Amino acid sequence: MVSKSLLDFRGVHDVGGVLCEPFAPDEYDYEPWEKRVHAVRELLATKGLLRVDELRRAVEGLGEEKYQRLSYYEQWIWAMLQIMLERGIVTDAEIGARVETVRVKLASHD
Amino acid sequence: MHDHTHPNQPDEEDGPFTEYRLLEVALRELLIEKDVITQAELHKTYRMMDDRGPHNGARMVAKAWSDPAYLDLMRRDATAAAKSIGLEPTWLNLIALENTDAVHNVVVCTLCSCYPWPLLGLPPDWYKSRAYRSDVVQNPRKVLAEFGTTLPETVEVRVHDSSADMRYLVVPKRPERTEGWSEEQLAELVTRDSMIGVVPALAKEDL
Repeated sequence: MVSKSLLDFRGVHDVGGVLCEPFAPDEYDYEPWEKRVHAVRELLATKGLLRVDELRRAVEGLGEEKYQRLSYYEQWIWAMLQIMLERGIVTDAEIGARVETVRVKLASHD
Repeated sequence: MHDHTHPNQPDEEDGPFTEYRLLEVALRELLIEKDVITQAELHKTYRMMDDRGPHNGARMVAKAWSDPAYLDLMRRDATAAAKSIGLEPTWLNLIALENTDAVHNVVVCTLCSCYPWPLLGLPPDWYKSRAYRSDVVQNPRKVLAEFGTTLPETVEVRVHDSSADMRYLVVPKRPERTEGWSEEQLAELVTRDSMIGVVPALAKEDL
């Protein structure tokens, strides 16, 4: 077991050997939106617009509460957005407005 | 079922629209509008993702079982071994881990989800779970037992922690009574989980 003092210095993502719930193998199919997140990330990486260390820094900077609550690809899309904002590729105002447009569009389909 | 198509409508099998799902659509639309990425590039990437899967890793393992020169190359430079049969991972630092009667290897990424995905496809959900990442480094035999894998105490279990720069592919032991099999036949025995190291390769009887 890793000592408590060492655990105190860990980031929230650094879970090797940390006691948590028991492991049980479960399978699940990726949802299409998750594959789309993956594809966009890969494309941005290929174009040199999103390095793996940037993505990880953003994911690891989520804070404990958000890191535990968000699913894997929720973490990714949030982190990807942070890096796109940092790089000035999209702005806060643009993304905020577009999210509302998408929300209205999707709601009107039901 | 809709009787007409909407380009930006997420697929019907997607779950409810969470804020993050909306964000995915919004960011993707903006990146395309700004010409940062194109729809054609995206579709090409989807196709590449579909082509990735355990069948790629299985080809390498089956060849390593069949061809001593290839096994030797895999031991020295697994990335070169992948490239030599036309597989994609040009960017991967790949290390092959051979299971033997004395040593059983199992792979994890304790920090996140690093995985040789060009060779195995996207990782299973459990591989990314906090429980697997935390537990397998501490109680590997207990975790292996959850997959139905029980190893004699005389077998050493080695757990390998992947990183962004270093990925692992387990070469499971070649199943018994498969002498004379072709590489194509052998590849049928090599499953995703056997290349992560949580189970052995399939037995002849399993096919």
